[in-house]
Amino acid sequence: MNILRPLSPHLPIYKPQLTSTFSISHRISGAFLATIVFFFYLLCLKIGLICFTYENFYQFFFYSSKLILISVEITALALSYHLYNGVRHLLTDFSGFFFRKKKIEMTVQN
Amino acid sequence: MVLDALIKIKNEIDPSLTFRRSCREGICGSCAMNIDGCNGLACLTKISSDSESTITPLPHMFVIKDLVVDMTNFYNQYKSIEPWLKRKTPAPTPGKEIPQSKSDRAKLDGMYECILCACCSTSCPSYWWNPESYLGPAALLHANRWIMDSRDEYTQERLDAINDEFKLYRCHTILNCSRACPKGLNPGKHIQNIKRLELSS
Repeated sequence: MNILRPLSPHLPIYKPQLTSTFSISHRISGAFLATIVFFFYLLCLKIGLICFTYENFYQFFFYSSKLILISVEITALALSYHLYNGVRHLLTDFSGFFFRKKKIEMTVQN
Repeated sequence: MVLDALIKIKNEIDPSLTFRRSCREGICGSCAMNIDGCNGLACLTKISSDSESTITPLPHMFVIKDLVVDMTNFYNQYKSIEPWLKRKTPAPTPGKEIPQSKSDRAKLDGMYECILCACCSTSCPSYWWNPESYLGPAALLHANRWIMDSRDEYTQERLDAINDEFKLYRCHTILNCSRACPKGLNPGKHIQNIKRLELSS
């Protein structure tokens, strides 16, 4: 029933922390890579054979070929960041499985 | 500390400034607020040497007045994890305390010190977007405190109660909570412990 109460500011005022920056960049790079992969899959494997025969389409791609170089660089950046952060996640999140001593595990009642 | 500055402003400049405060020594958790973009206790945060300091209430909470926010939802979530000892069998010696070894008691270190100031939960973006359904780091820290207590016999029921897509698994290990805790606790680590136990239960 708090429809009239204002909400305190959150995103605009909160200082970007190292932890939250890592997390959101991981998500953004993941989404970016997913769209890139999807577009390349569509383009190269599915509709490329047909749509590249169209004059205008081919022309557009030819003239934006420099852009492709830049986007490849950005994709490489996103891929490497996502990969390293993914490995870090696996190590930190699953460290409890590897370093927990057997005796302590037994005392947790099931 | 920032609390002294707030009290001075209330005394000399604007008596209508409203904020919660009690112990002035970082143990009650009343004066939790957002100072210069980071959550913390006003009585433990030093006034920065920059000329200006921005103080806002705890993020993404309904504001009652000035720096006072509505903590009902936060307290209800704490209540929902049933933070009391539950046993199926009576105590070994009736009328006396339930004995606990030193190593079992040591397992509670890092969890029992939580003062429920809400700095961690209100720093979690996942809690911002799902305040009603996600329990938040503070409630989950306390859930772990009772799960890890060797005297408590309802461990499996406690684990099942939070084994839910929203209550526990809205945590994406953003780990803003551990950065924000003014008592130096690590809610992220304890939530990870719950997730680990859920896997093996």
